[in-house]
Amino acid sequence: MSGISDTERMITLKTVEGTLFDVKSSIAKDLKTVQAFIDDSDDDVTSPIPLPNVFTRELSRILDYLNNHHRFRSGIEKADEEMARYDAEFAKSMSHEELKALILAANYLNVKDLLEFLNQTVADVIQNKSVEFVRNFFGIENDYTPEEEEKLRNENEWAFNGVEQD
Amino acid sequence: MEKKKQKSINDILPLDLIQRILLRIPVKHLGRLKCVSKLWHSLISDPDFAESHLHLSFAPTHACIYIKNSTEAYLVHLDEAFNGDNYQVKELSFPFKKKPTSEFRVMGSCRGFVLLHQEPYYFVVWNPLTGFSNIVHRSMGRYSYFLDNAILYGFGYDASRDDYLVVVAWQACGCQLLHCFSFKTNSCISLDVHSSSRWVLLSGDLVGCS
Repeated sequence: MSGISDTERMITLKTVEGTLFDVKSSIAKDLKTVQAFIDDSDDDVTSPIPLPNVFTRELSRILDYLNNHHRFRSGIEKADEEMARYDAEFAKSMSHEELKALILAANYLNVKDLLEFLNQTVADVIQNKSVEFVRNFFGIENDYTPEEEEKLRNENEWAFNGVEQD
Repeated sequence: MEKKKQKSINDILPLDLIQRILLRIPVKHLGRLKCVSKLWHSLISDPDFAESHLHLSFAPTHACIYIKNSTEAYLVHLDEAFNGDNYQVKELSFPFKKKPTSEFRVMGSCRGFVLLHQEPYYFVVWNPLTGFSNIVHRSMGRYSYFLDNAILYGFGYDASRDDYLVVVAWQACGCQLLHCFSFKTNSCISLDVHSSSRWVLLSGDLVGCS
């Protein structure tokens, strides 16, 4: 192809499993970790960029999100509603494990907007849940003794009302 | 949960991510989340975290407290009240260890803290959402703090000094006097003000206009 403009240039990314993804450079800009790698390279990056911490499932979701958001932003006025609907479906489509895995991948790749959205999604999920649910969600061990925990719960008793059952 | 899941690196989110999630959770839930683990407790109790939570306002709290008498107070979250039919009216427990012997009055609120004054000597800074309270005993010097005689009083925050201030103004003998008490230094400045000046307390900032 001749006369390739900057926005049409394609970058190839390789996941942990070895799957290759061709990504437009305009989308790759949102993957700040990748963009930094490109910026730091002296020559044009032609060989696939390996992403040792990112799995196919997560990269696929991230690119799906970015492609859709780029489409919404460059489209017609009604996009805000469509985008909100897409975001809601996107969040709902994942299990808690998948949500956590995606946050880790988005954090590694430094995808700012997606990360903010995912952080809000998790905040919405956990805010009304019990302490046990939250521990389970984050894989956290309880390091309080039963006495310490009892004391803490009493001090914060008012905050335990209205909590959703697991 | 019967079987303990095998913990993989993917199960554990790094601390800064957890903190960014917590910044998006309304204050009313954070007390409970302190019980998750000791690390979470110190994260949530950190003053810098509180400052960030306030400034970033991802999850602002708009609440109204109603103090019925010296033993009863209630709190309502305004977004709940305005958005739905079912809203909770939470009963609050006062920060006094025993029933106050004299009446107290609310002097104002600022950044989630409510200032109570029990005549003549006690100020109590109280955060009804977190339960924090701090009692300050103040001997008043020349003037007793009988606020019925005050022209205005209020409670505000001085960002330049990261200090909470109580301001009381009186009219006496043709002069207006201004007392400004700093919680940070636990001391008072009194200013004699020209009698033609007028003072207005505006959103926690004291504004003078003559």
